[in-house]
Amino acid sequence: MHELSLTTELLKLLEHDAQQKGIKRIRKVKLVIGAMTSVLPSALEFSFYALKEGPLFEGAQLEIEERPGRGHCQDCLAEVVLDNWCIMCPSCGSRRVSIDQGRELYIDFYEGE
Amino acid sequence: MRVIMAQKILQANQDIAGQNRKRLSPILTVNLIGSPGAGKTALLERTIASLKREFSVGVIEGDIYTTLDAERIAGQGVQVVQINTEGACHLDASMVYRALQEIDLSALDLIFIENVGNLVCPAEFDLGEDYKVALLSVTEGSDKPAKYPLVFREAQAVVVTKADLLPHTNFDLQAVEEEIKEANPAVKIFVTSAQTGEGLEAWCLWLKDAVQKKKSLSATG
Ligand SMILES: [Zn+2]
Repeated sequence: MHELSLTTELLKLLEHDAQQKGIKRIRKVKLVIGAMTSVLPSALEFSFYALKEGPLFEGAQLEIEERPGRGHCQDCLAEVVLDNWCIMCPSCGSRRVSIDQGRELYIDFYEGE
Repeated sequence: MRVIMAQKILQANQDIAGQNRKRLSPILTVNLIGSPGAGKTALLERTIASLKREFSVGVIEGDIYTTLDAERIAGQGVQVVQINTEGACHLDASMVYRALQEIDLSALDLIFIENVGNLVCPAEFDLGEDYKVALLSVTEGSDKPAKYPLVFREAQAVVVTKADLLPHTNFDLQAVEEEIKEANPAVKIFVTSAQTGEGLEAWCLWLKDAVQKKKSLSATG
């Protein structure tokens, strides 16, 4: 359950940034989580609502964009859609597939005033 | 007002890992990642016993449950720091940063970080190590690499442990080796047993080599 510590980190980053910009209340936070991270969006969402506290986060909503995994085969160069860790090229069966998208884990933006 | 951040959630961890890497610059640092019971402590004991005549070794212990592992390792007469993860399922860079302040780094050649017993989460957290080493015991079943491939893709070495128990399991060693190699062609695989000593020599030779490489790299760079 590293989602808890990720959420603590997330809240710290937001608090720090909001303080610098003079933002008193955050309404919405948008995250991007790639399918090829070992982060469970539902667990992160749960910890967000469980851990956020204080007036800054009152009523704050979390939006998560789950970025699908994409890669390409190093052997036949085919594009490969990755939706789990059993990575294999559907065209030639190779396991040598690069992960080009899906390792993202970042705060896209937040909204507040 | 919308504030675009485009900020990696793990950026802070990344930054501290970078600082650790600087402090550790001439010292080879190996992050051992494996499930509970994979045999990390037993492997460490045997490894330290055979390397300590030649190298000065330090250990950072990340066991969440007890200090038993740290006590076992301290019995080897090396510097050990125990990290209390307060229930976290992995070590992060700041825990290692604090641990490094309690170690006399000046004399060390090699540091092992025994991560918390978990194959999944530790792979996401850079600690500032040179190498990630994944442990896989033959009693865990052959489906581990397919289930937890991030660590097997990122590891520079995989140590298969408890090989003396192979005859009593349905662990398909060849299939596992092939699967790991396919996803990570450059990885070194060592098949070992802390009981019989099998494979430990090759593993220790690999470490020795890596210690020397790190030294000459930091001397020139
Ligand atoms: Zn292919």
